[in-house]
Amino acid sequence: MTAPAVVAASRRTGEGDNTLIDPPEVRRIVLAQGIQFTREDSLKLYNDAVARNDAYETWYYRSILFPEGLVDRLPGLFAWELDGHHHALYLNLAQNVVYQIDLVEDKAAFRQALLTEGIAVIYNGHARYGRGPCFGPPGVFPGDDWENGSAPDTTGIFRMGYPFVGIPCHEIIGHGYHTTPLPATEPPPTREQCDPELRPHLGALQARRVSEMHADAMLVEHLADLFGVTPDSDERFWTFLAVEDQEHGREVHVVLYAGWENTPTAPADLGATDFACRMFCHFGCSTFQHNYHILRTWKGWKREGDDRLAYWQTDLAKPIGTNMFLSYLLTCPKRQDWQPWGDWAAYAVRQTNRELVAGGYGWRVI
Amino acid sequence: MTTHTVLPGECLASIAERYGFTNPRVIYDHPANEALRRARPDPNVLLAGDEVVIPDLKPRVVTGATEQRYHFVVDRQPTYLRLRLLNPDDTPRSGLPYRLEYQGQVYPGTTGADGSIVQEVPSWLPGALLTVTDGGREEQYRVALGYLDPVTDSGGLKQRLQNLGYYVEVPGVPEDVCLRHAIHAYQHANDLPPTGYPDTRLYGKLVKEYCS
Repeated sequence: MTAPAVVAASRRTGEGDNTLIDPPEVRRIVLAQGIQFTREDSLKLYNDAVARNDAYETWYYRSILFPEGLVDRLPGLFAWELDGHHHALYLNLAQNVVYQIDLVEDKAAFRQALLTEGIAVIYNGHARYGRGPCFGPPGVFPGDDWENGSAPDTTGIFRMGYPFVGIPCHEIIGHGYHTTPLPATEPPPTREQCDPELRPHLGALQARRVSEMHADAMLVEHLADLFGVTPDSDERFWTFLAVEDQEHGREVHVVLYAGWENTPTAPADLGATDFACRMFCHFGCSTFQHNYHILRTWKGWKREGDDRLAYWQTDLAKPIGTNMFLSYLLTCPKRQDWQPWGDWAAYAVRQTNRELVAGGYGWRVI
Repeated sequence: MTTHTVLPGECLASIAERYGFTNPRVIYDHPANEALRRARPDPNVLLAGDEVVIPDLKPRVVTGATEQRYHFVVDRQPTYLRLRLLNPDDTPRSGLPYRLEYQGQVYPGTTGADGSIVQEVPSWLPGALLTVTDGGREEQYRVALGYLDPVTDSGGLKQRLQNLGYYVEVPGVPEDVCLRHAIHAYQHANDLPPTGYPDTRLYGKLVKEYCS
């Protein structure tokens, strides 16, 4: 039994009463927004859309903002800001739960949330082709924040991927981050070591010099710098040709070291982080394919009854699903105080997927 | 006449007993306490620092013959601890076994059909420990008697919102933010403009719902 709750009451000599309602449970949710998905980034897009008088984009970008997008869905949400950090409280009387939602936007705070017992952690941002949640300051600047981080404690990837990923050259060049390609002096990775998106290309891996990776000499020079070699280096790396999008067409993809344990970002990686949180949602693109087995099987963070819940997205996704999911957690219509979390989360998953279907969106929460 | 400055935990009943009055209404209804009545329409809910004018005790002179038996009826108003236990959806928590403990005594009972617990208590009793058993789960409340402040005081506002399940101390969240959230949530749930700040409509609704 917990310590007695102290309640003030009046002595009554006539009419009147003291009404006492079972105190609600406080349930904390940390919403972690990744690089290019920070509140400031979304707010800028929203303000630009308003200035352009673009009704659809105004609606869209507002719907992904925290807390504004959530307030629009839940007018009872009480949002507040302290020292530049955004938070919200929401009381659901039917659930008898007070939700405390804290927005965090750096890797250290995200990791701290994962290490916090009994809370829910929702990551909303890029999946980085399966490498893991990634953090950076507002503004889309090229640099190492797209890989290991310019300030590794607070920015860059929290690695939780398969040991190897295949990344198109335009992505590395465009984001301009230093990275480590797999040298062809090493044996090609096994199927089990590869992210599912790399596996279909294993039979077509080719060893290429950096000078053979792009037709543009300036970009070869840039790529060489990012790989830590000279443009005319004779060193070869494992690569393959594939089409990621129409804009870039068929291009060289490079096999990069990724991983989840003993990575360059440790201790900010899955291997060095023993989750204490009760629920983890990885709401990036195709995270179910990229990261589910890493967390559940390789790391061994398995579901235990109604504890250690984890949710993912099935396909390329947009950030609009996150406020949806949050709103359904907060509005689940059954009493929830001190109850198991399974039904509560299942309700949010079900309702979010219904709304995604109704909106014609191509991914689901799983 | 003397003036008494209310201390934390005092109510009119405890003040009356201290000054030898059996009925606190004698003090409350005295013309010298008109300002107090206006400020504190509920005599059971005073604020520390309030001033109460204590009228002089008037000894009652009665005559009687020896060897006769006379009956004197004391105008005494008993003091109660009255609680109403509700579920978050406002349905009563009826038929629940409870134990009320104070002064080394245990007073067991069962909550009434309306979720009520009514126990006559000494007018000066500062507190009691309430243990309620619900579905095998025991919950305990340390009831601070006489410490409920007027609703217009920020402390009294918080106490009522807490007892009604709106105010919760959230770890890491400043107290004033928790209070503004509770006010906002209460206003939203009761079709009042959700400003997060108190006003007379909030006070009125809250006193009605809380019942004091």
